Amino acid sequence: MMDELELLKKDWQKKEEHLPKLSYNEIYTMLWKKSSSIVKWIFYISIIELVFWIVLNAAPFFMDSYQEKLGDIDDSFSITFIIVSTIFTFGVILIFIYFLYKAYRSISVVDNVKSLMESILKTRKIVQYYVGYNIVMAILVTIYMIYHLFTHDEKVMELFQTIREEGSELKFWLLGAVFMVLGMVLVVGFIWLFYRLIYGFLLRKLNHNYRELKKLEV
Amino acid sequence: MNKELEHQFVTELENNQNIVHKVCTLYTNDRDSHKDLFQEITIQLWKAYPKFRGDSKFSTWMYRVALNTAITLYRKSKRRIKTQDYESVIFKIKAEEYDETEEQQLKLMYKAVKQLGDIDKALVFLYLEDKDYSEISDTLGITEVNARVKMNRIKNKLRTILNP
Repeated sequence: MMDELELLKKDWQKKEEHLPKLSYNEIYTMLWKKSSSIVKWIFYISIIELVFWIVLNAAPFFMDSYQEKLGDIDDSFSITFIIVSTIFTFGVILIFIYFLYKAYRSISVVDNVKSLMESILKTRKIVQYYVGYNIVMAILVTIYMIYHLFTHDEKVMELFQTIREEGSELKFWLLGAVFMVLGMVLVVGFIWLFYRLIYGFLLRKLNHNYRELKKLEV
Repeated sequence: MNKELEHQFVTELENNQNIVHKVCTLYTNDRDSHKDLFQEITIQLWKAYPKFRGDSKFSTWMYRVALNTAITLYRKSKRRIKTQDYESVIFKIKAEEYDETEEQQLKLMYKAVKQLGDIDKALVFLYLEDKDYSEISDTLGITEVNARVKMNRIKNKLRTILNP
């Protein structure tokens, strides 16, 4: 029996005459059309993400209350801490921009199918790390601020004193912890869901095909 | 962008457009999507063209870009159409050229190939285009052995479809 695929191959090569034929001008006009490739979409979304977190990081510097507080600080440790953390924050942003740029440059449509998929997924990962970093930092800052409130804010300290005298200290901590965790889960969950929606939609096909390609290797 | 490069590129593409049309036929289900994918592939080819050094043949280079665009870069979801009107137009077979069973077999096979996953389709496509396994594995980024194994599986699959 003849190989079925050979039969198909023969027929396939005869099919050329039935294919559409575009003219020189039709092709020429296509050169100037906008691409709708996923790389472009991922690029735009990454830029929005970077700008969003940069604005969030930079916003306090432009708020009056923050500037007032900065003016009030007089111990050298706090000032050094603020300077160092600011340099650190923006240093991290610069490093991420550098890696993101490098990753984008490495995406090449002339690569083989697998490498192209991998370089797109890698680029995606860099933005993911950046977002992850920001979430972790946000959680750390929140914890620090709560700690600061209990050790420095007079009103809160007073309130805590009365709670302690009433003997409901344990209940207070438990409740506080529950609310904290709930709040964080909600915020992180929301961000996670948002990501699942955007990238799930954008990368569904890519992830699916990448898995299929990977399956060939086992 | 200089005029000469544009002219050179469009001429090359015009002469080799069959490759792109064939990829579009395999990866889309209707005329609009076909045109849309053709356009996206053209844009990607054009963007990559200044870096095309001519170390390989223009057509070889095209296979990569076209498949990469169809499999990975092209975003629009495929509309799954049950009635395959378009396909029957493209794969129109002149009845007198074949006996009925062979025609029937081919129809079934084309249908089966269209239903394969994106990666399998690429393998079959390169095979039908008479590429050897080293070029197939090079284009996909898998080993030659894996390409062969996979191709055999696809062949068996097609066989069972034809001879249930």
